[in-house]
Amino acid sequence: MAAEAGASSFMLNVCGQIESVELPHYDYIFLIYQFVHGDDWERVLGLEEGVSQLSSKSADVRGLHAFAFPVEVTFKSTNPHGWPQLVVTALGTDIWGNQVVRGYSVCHLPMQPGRVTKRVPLFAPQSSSLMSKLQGLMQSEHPLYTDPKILGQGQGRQVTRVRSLGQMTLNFSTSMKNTRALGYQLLPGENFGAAAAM
Amino acid sequence: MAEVHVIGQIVGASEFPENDLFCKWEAHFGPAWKRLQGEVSGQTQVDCPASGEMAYFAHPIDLHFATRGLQGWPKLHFEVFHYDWAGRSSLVGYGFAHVPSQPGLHKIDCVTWRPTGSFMDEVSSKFVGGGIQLKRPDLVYELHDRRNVHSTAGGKVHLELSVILRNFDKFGVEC
Repeated sequence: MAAEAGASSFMLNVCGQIESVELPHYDYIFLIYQFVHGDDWERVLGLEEGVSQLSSKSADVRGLHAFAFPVEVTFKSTNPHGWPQLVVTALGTDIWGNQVVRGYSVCHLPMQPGRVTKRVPLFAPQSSSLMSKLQGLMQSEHPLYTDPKILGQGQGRQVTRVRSLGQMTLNFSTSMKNTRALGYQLLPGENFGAAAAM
Repeated sequence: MAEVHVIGQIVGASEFPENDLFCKWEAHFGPAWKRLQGEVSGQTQVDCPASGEMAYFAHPIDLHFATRGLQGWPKLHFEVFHYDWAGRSSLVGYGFAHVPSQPGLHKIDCVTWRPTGSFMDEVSSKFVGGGIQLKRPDLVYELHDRRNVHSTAGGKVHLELSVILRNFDKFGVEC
């Protein structure tokens, strides 16, 4: 299909899944994902927030949480700046039966068409002192981000202390529309300019 | 105008003597380049890993430049610090990496080094903590004469950056 002449925006379509999570310390886990993106981006299709099933660790040596949780989204944009990022929160239950955050992960959606598998680290914010940590354990108040979307930006992260404690495996299949028509070169070896400049 | 987008993450750092680390970063570029959007510097979270030897920062970088020339291609410079149990930070590595000029996804391992002091400096840094730092951090990424600096290897900073170019072909530039 020929690119639309005079297009002013391009589209990004990502289909994939959160395959599995390795969080050896914790058993009952479920995931919530959200997208963070710049002002030039608009989500055209797909969920704003996805909630997965509750998973128990596998009984074998892997101790794996397998989710196979679909992520399908289409964005429209006029500018690659603010490229969407997927922020995932892993939640579990503590000994008192309350929901607590076990870890966060953040990664950009792919910027090249094609299929890719990614392994992304999971980390959890830490209490700033031993006292608040003990208090948190007793009162079921673990540190968490008031808005996980802060992980999509660089500012304000310098004051956070975290503990990385697991990995998440995801795969994405990505396609774009009109990026070439707008002059963007996403992959090496594309030399379409000679035709466009004439 | 030709445009360059650099979008990705400072993934983490590994192979340092201690694992509780954070990183300060800054982007530098020549006069032909103009930053249109994005932060040019920042500081990552402090990671104290539960296991393994890699500290993970997952710190986003999203820069948008316009340029009139190839000289002064942007580079990112890093300072890795160790955050100890008492909350003090000491420098454990300086490094820099050029933004790749080829479009696509790049996984970059950026080597770092730290300045080595005299024997007394090294001994006192073992007991008291802290370490020596450069008076002029631009020595790390500029084309200066470094002959008076004695350094020791640090670990590596891991980056995952995607580069998107726009209109380079219209100016006859091949990347």
